[in-house]
Amino acid sequence: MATTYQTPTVYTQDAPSVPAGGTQSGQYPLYTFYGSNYLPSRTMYVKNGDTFKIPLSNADGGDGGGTQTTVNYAGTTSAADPDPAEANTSQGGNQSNGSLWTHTVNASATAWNDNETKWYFFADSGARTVRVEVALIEITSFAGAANTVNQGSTLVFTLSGLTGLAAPVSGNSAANCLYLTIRDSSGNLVTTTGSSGITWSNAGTANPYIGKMQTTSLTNTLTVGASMSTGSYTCRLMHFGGAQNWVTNVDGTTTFSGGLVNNPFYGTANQLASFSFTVNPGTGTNTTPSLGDNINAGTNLSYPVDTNSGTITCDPTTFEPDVFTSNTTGSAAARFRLKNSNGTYPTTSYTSVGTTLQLTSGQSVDFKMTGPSGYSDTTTGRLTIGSVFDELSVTTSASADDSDTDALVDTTSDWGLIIKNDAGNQIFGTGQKQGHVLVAASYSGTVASNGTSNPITIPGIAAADNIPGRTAILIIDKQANTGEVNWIVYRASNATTFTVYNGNAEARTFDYIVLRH
Amino acid sequence: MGYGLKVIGGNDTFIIDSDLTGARHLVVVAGPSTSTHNTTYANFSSGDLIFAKPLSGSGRIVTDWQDPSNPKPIHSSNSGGSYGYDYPNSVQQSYLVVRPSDNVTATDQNGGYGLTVFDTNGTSKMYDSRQTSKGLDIVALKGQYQCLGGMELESGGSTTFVSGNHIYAGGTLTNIYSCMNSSNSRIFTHPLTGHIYHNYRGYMYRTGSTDPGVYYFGWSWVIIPGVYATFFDSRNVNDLIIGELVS
Repeated sequence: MATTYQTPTVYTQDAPSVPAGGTQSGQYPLYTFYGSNYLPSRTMYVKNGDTFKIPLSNADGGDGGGTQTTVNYAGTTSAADPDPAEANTSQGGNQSNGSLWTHTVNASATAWNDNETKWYFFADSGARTVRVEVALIEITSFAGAANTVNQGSTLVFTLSGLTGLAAPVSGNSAANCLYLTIRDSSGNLVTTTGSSGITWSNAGTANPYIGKMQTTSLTNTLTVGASMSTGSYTCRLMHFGGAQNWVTNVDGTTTFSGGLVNNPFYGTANQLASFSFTVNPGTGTNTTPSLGDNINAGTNLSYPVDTNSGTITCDPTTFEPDVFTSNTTGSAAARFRLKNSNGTYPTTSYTSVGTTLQLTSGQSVDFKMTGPSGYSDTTTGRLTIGSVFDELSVTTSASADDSDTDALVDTTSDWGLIIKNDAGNQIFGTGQKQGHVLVAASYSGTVASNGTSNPITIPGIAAADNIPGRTAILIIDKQANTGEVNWIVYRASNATTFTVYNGNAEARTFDYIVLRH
Repeated sequence: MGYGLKVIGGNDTFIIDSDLTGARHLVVVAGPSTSTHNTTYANFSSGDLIFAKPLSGSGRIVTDWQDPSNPKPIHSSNSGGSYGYDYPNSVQQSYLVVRPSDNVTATDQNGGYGLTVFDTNGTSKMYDSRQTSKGLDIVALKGQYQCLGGMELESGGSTTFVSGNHIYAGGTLTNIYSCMNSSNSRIFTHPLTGHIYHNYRGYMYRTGSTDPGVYYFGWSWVIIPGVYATFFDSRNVNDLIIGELVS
């Protein structure tokens, strides 16, 4: 896209007094807007068709200024260099301070065969001089290796036929670069890097979402993150320059407040070429999550379930499958969070139905759901990872009087066995509900964090009595040096066993007491 | 049943059953006694249960079971807590020591007569009316995770009792004791990170005319000094048992 650039004012500078067009060392210093950083050896870059306008002044540009109120054009070093339009036929000319010296680039003209022009200016009889150098950037082709790339894969961009770009500067990797940026289908700049964005093999240090090319490195490999959004994208190749924020005066001050390019690295005006491509979903497989056995919650309403999928591995390991939950039956309130292999969490909060996250190979998934809020009901939650899933159901039983944890004894009967103390008061028997210890023991071994104990048998009782209304289970945590105590008892359905889930951050053991009442 | 005793009360209530081999009646062997902060309950032996209530009749009670052989009541009258995050403001307890019948040696607490039920081995006692003159009648139960937890009536927290934490309703709590084996009280400062962790589960006795009764409370603090603190409601890990002392 042809662009009109108007630079900040270029000021003549004090120099050895020699005739105009002289070549004494130190005369006609190069005027740069960017110091030694990004464009140390040119005043500016342009493209074919661009128009550039450079104001010249002999006033104070940071070094005190001169006396003459006009600036003289002293020609070029070679007839091959194009002159400003304001020059006269003798490669000379004179304009008042601040006047523009302009040119429109025609790359096919002989004068641009060397891809540059150097203009020399002087004032005060040669006591003040300055030189501007404008380089024309040309390329033959710029393309990616393919028009499509899968999530988690790479795409190589190659530039050929590059001319006009200055050579790299040893010790300054920021100098003399072309820049690569990615924009989505809406034109938004992609600035996210890593697994959910982009990664360049040769990138800027401060802004790694910007790729770089130099005369010695004309390829750059883009890695598309495994969870980067799919869709259409465009890679743009840009030259540097033209932005106000990076332009400085000769004394280092920044006074320029205008400009036609809003960013020197990826402003649209600096675009040399572009290449469109599509990001497609990554392909791969992953292991199936396991949420454990279905749960009979007895008469426990809104029974909370907190479990873990087990470690999920992906093939290839760069494959990052989608993870989400759904409520298959009832209001299960299924939700999840990703868990790293070292036990930490990318995000500690849980993600509800309707939101998808991407899992990295080696992570597991914490899964929560809620049992029915009524009796004789079932809720089922599903955890989907990639193309596989597991479901967990929680079922409640009927609200029989004796299975209700609040249901207690009939105190009105006048029959049965009663034991009284010497004072004549009943201390045991019909009409009261007293406890009997069935087992009190220490668990053998430890239970891993987010793991479940081996089944523990409650001796003697019928399976139907394995409910809170008839047996009580007490877990005594023995872990020293912790402020966390989190266990969940799972009673087996239609059996006389229970297991204990360790919701703490480390492997632990425990004592337990089971009462019949 | 070829031998022994089986008694079933109204509503199919379990009283005693010789077929339930290994069952041991819970005997009130000591108390009511008054607790001392961070000091093992007197007369406690491993395997015993502790039932307690606030000595003054109302307030919170918690017990530290980090060493199950050495449970300690925690009285944290200071409510300021570290970095302004609250201790449970728990109070002194009146407590009972309750022991399985085969671990009880006394045989003269209720006269030299009565009823003894032996287990199948002929020596272990499933029940002996001479072991105590007291009884503990279970009057309320809550299954694990049925109470929501939270910081009730604590400065900076909710000032409304949560019905989901209600265990026992009643204005007269004089003889109402709660099983402290379901409680925990933890404060831990990580030696490397300096992060502070609090975790409490216990009972709140509320008297007066508005919603009197026994409530469950449970919460956790995670405190990174100078950075932030996070509060979590903690549901009841254990089944909750409320008993009435009869004597």
